[in-house]
Parts: sequence; C-alpha cells; structure tokens
Amino acid sequence: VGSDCEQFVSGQHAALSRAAFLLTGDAVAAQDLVQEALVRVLVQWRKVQRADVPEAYARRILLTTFLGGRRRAWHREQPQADPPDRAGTSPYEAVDDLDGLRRALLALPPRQRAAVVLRHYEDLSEAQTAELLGCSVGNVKALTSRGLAALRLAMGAPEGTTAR
Amino acid sequence: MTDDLSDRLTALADRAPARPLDVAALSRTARRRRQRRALVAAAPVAALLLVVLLAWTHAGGVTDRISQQAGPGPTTPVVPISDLQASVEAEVVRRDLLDGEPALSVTVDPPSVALGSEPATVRLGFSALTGREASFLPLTRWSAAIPVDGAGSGALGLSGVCGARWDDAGQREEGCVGAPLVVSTVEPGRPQTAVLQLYARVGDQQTKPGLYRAEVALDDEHLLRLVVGVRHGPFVEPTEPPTPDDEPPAGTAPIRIFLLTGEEDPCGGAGRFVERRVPATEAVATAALRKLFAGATAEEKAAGLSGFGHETAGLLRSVRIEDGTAYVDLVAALLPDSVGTSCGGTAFQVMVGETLLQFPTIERYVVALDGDPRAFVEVMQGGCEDPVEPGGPCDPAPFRPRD
Repeated sequence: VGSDCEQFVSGQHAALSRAAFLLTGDAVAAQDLVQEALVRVLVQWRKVQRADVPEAYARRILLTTFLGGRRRAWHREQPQADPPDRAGTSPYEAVDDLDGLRRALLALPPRQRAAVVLRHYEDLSEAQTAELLGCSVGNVKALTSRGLAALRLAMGAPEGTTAR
Repeated sequence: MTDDLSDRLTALADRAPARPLDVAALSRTARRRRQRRALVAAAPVAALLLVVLLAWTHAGGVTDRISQQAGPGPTTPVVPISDLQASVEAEVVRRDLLDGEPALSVTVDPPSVALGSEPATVRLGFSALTGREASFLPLTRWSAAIPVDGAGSGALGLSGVCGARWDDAGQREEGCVGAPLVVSTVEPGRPQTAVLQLYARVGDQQTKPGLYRAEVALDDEHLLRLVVGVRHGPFVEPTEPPTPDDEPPAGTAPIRIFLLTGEEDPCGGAGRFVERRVPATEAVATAALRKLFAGATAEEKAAGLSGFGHETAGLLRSVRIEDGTAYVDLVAALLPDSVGTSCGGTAFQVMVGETLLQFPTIERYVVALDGDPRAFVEVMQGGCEDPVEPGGPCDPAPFRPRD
C-alpha cells in the first residue's frame, strides 16, 4: 500500500464525508463511518484498484459499512423531539428546515435512508442503487417510494414530530 | 418534491464538517488490521469480557417498579431530576492489543450511585501487562444511545476523558476534560486511573427512567470498549424486588411469561411459565412482553430461573396483532448483543415465542428492530428473500404506523 492509495483516500474523503453525514445525521458518527470505510478501502486496496470505477467501489464500502454496522455508533443516534446535543445556540435553529430534513432522514430505516440518499443525493440510477444495496430494482423503487412518503409526512407534520 | 429534495439534500450535505484526514494514521490502522487478520487466521483472538455489576438487585427493583407504574403503553413517566438516583454498571470489553499480545488491563472500581444531580463516578484502572508501552491517547470519542419515546428526553454527560458533556445550563461542552489522564502512556508497573463521571442532564431538568449507555473507544479500531449503563428511577429506600407472591393490588390481572431454567440448558431449551400481575388490560401480549423483558425476580433467580436482564426493561416498542400474527417492534439500541449468538438467539426465541404463543389469538410472530424486520433477521444471522416478499418475515409494511 503506497502513496497511490493514500492519494485516493484523501481524494475520496470529502465526498464520502458528505454522504456519510446524510446517512448518519451526526458529525461524529459520520466521521467514524468514513474512517472505518476508508480503513477498509486501504485494507482492500488491491480490490479497489482493480475495480472498474474505484470511486464507486469506495462508495459501496461506505454503504456496506453503514448498513452492516447496526450496532455501531453511527446507528445509535435516535431521533429526538428535543435533542440535547444541539451544537448551535442560534434562536433560529429550531425552525431550521434542513435540521428538520436531517431528523426526518434519521427517522427512516437505514435501507430506506440509503436508497433516498443514493437516488436523490448521489443521483444514481435505480439499477446502480440496486447494485449498491444488493437488491432488485423493484426493491429500490419500493424503498425510495416509502422513504419519500415518510419524508413528506415528517416534513409536513407539526413541529417536533418525526416519522416512525 | 424530488428536485427540491435533491437540492435540500445537497444543502444538508454541505453541513458535513470539513475535518482534516490523517491518512498516515489510517494507513497504520489498515496495516495493523491486515496483520491481525493474519493472526486471526492462525489462531482466533478471544475477546475477554469483564463484567462488573453493582447495585444490580437494587437497580432492578427500581426499574421493575417503574415499569409497573408505567403500566401498558409506550409512554414512560417523566421523573424530576431532583428525584433521581442512578446506579451504574460498567462493562469493559478488552481485546488483545498489539499483535495479539495482552497489553492492557482495565479494571473498574466500584462505581457510585448518583443521587439527584450528583454524578455517578466510575474509576478505571489502566495497567500495562507487557514490556510494551500502551497508550490510550486516542481516547477521543464517545457516543450514547438514548432511547427516547413519549415525552421527555435524556442525555449523558461524560467528563474525565476527551468527549462531550453538558453543563448545568444544558449547554454542550466539548474538549478533553481531565485530559492529563487521557493523553498519557501506560507503562509497565505504573498503572493509572481515569475517572468517568456521568450526569443526568436535560434542559428542562427532567429525565426519564431507562438505560443510558455510553461507549468509549480507546482507539480507531475499537480495540477496547467501555460500556457504562445508568439506570434512572425515583429515589426510594432499597427494598426487595416485588415477587409474584406480593399482595395483588386491586384492578390487576395475572399473566404468564416464560423463563428459562438456565442451569439445566444454557441454550434455552427448557423453562417454565411464571406469573406476573399487570393492570387489567386487553393488551395482554404487550403487557406480557414488557414483563418478560423486565427480567426475572430475585426469588425466581434463586430458584434457578433466568431471563432477560433489567437493562432490557425498555426493549419493547410496540406489539400489534393482525390475522394471527404478532408484530413485535423492539428498540434496536437496547437489544442485548447476546441475541446475535446461537445460544442467545435460541434463548430469545424460546422466551418470546412461548410467551406470545400462549395466547390463542397469536399463531406466529415477527420481530423488528426500530420498525425494520430485516435488521432483526440480520442480528439472528438469517437472510431475507430478495425482493422482500409482502407478508414475509422481512416485510416492514406491518410495522409502519397506521392512520
């Protein structure tokens, strides 16, 4: 493992961190998730190198790390009506639309959340998403559809509530 | 909505903190992991589990009383923080470090019982067992699983390590409190002590009974992990846990739960029903599972029966029965790790299955974690059909809220 892989890891860090933040909804958990994924990239560097699209392989590792780590820190965040770990003190934060979206995302089951992020943030096709999630295109449609429905419900719901 | 959603997801992703990446550290971690894989292939590294349970009986009694006061239903009563006591149990998982050699020993001194807003303290003794130095410099993060449902919310403050805590005003503070203890090296023959303090803190000075867990990873590979659980409950003088022989209060009804005769068959093949009393309710399956997850009484344990631990008292999220199927939704963060083992999985299925299938309206049951049955199947090391069969064991549809 030499400088090529270290350059690759450095280059992927920002993009994976953004996706990880959407998947985990938490800065520290996202950092944990990305670090774990990047370590796996380094451990499996030869496989990553041989992949047609190494960036996609790294994204797959991030996703499988996320979906396979239900007992790990990035799955322990629980959506809360009044979370104690709000970092900001801005009086406007309570009505922050993006924070509402973050909470609504967190309330989705992990595979639904992953499907929504892959389809609507990563802009992947249904087939690409199905390959990453290891399921059928039909399953991706169902996951995405249910995820979007839950997001609509949560975002349209009264303040302080989250979809379950 | 979808175009708008994409824009908003992008805007939300922009909030991801831009933190520098220590590629060299990642490389070192990857190298060690590759080395360890080689070692593991030759001789599996056994994880050593040290469990210190303190004030267990006392805490269990409190928990059980709380669950009785709560009665059936998802909402747990909120307790003023001034009326709290928190007993602490600590569990340290130590895996072999440094190429498989045991390098660190971690002991947990008797932790205290927190009263009111006073913190509970856990002292951790670190000592190196080999000639190598073992640094716990990377003790930099912690996370907490905080089960929240119904009204109220809770939080854990943690000091004595680099991490986060909450001050009296409920403001989060980050940094290395007590850092000199943390950013040091444990040398052979010079054991050190770190002190963790756990607080119950919420903005409205209220919290709720339940199990709070904090995890501290001692390095990026989670080679050493500390799990601290805090139980909260109204302060009461210690008394024996309630037993089935207590005088049955008015307005209650008997139900049965299935416990294991663990000593005869540690894998959960044998057991028997015991009785509990619950407020008269039609939701008997829900009440029975809540009692099952609250664990065995002291008398039952003395009689050789075993079941869930008191830390699973809040495990049940909901039970819904439809067309003979009970859909059991659990709180993922509270599911004991042991359920993922073959013995633990069998024990879980026997106790839950026998308890549920005693009711004539239940012919089968499906379990989900946080509404996701696939998650439970994965914990049990099973697989789901693909695509998920509607009505099958991995179909999440029955767990969704109904209008």
